[in-house]
Amino acid sequence: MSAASYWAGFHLVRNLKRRGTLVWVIGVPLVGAIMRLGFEVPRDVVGQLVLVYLVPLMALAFGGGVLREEVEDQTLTYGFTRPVDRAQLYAARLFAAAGPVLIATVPAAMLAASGGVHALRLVLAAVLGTAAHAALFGLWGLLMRRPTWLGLAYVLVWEQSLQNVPGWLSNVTLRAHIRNVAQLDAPGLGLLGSADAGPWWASGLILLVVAGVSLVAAGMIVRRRELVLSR
Amino acid sequence: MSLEATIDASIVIGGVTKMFGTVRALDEIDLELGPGVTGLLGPNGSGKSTLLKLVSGQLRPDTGQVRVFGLDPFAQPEVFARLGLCPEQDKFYEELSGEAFVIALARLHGFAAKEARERAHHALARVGMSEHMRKPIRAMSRGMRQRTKIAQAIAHDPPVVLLDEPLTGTDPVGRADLIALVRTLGQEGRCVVVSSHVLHEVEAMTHQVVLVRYGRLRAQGDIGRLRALLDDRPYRFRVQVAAPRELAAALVVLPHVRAAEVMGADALEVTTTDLMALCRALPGEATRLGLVIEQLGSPDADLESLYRYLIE
Repeated sequence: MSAASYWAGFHLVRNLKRRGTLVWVIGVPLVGAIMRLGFEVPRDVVGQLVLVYLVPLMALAFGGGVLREEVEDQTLTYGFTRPVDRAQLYAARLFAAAGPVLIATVPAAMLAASGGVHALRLVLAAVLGTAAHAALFGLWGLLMRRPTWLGLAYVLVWEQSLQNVPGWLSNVTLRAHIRNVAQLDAPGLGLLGSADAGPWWASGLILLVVAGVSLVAAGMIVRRRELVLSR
Repeated sequence: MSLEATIDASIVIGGVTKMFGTVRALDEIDLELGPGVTGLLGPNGSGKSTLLKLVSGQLRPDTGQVRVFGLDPFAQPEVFARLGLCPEQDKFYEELSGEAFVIALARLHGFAAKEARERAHHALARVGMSEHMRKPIRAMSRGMRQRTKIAQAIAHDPPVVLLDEPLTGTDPVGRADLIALVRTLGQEGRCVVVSSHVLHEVEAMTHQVVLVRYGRLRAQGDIGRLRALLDDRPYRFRVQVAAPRELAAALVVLPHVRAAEVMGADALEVTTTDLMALCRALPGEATRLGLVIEQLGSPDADLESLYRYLIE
């Protein structure tokens, strides 16, 4: 096992032991199950809520402060004075932050599955959506002190506004591609179909590219940035 | 200064300046450090921690270069296989035990689980933490936390060890143990750099010191030499006694006493060129006058005065 993958596992376990994380990890699938089975909320609506809203918001909550938390706790020194590339350590921390998002949202998203193949598409959408959002918000977290407000505005204003714009503009949003990969429509939520987002695999590729580019950019920043720990 | 290290130099700092905004934290520092313990001395805010942060790759110099075994610690993390850092801040992954903390950081050096555990146990034993290593860090005393922090710095057996104020918060027994450990690390041939603002602490660990003030290197070398510099200067000594005028009159006639100034109703300040001679004469003079010396102290015994003398 490489040092970076060990670090990812180490921080994932630390994250999962936190009470706040446990609430999300247990609560999201539970609420999804209650909605789906108890109140018979349509599959697509549950899927949309999980993949379109919860994935980005949880990714923002967990991924937006990946290094900020360690800077504020003044523990970053311990990891960054080891013989491991800082970019790898950052990626490890991002993975550890994304882990709880996946653990919470994948089972909840599966509640929207209409069959085996669709379930796989939902899982893929959750994984790619989490990766893209966590990497993007992680990058923002490196560029600004408090990315939360911008992240909320992005998810709830920018993406929300553009999703119903006819034509190509709706494809500028990450959620359009998540929905396309997940093969979800939810007219009840006021969401249009995802037919104009192109083939689902292209949407998957776009999410992957967003995740990759954000991760690489963040890695470059982390390599060049000085460690200034708060007092 | 050439950045080609001399044969023994593990750390080479050449023309390093570091600014924080408009504040010049370090100014044109040139330094070579080799095996053995070096005390990095300076008052708070003098630039000691900044210097250690540069050597440990946490900061990048604005001008000049820092090399550890020829590698740039900011850009080449592989150097940390040979460098251990005990940071100044009293911060940890608090929920972990000391053992788990040191093992986790040893794993980051690429050691397999078994080896990391063995190394962690060995390092914790060296700092006297074997008995308490399974205690959660959040429940540890400050001294135990300091020891745990040092253990993580030496678990990978690095030839260069940087200890930033390692004795902070330790009790007298713990301090003596840590001082002995630092000396042993130096005797093993490691390059150990210990920062402190307490002169006698550093003096107990090493005779090699580097003095930093206002971000500049003020002196470097054997602490005995620096002491000798002090001895050549008048030294102030404060005596608390019931009748300071009588004692002042008795002392001022001694050949090595330059002045004896009464400071209020119960104290005097004596300026001498020979501190030892004054210390020998003082009890006798007090006894002769039937006085009891209530308190003795020297405003010159701190680092500030040492700097003042060196700068003057």
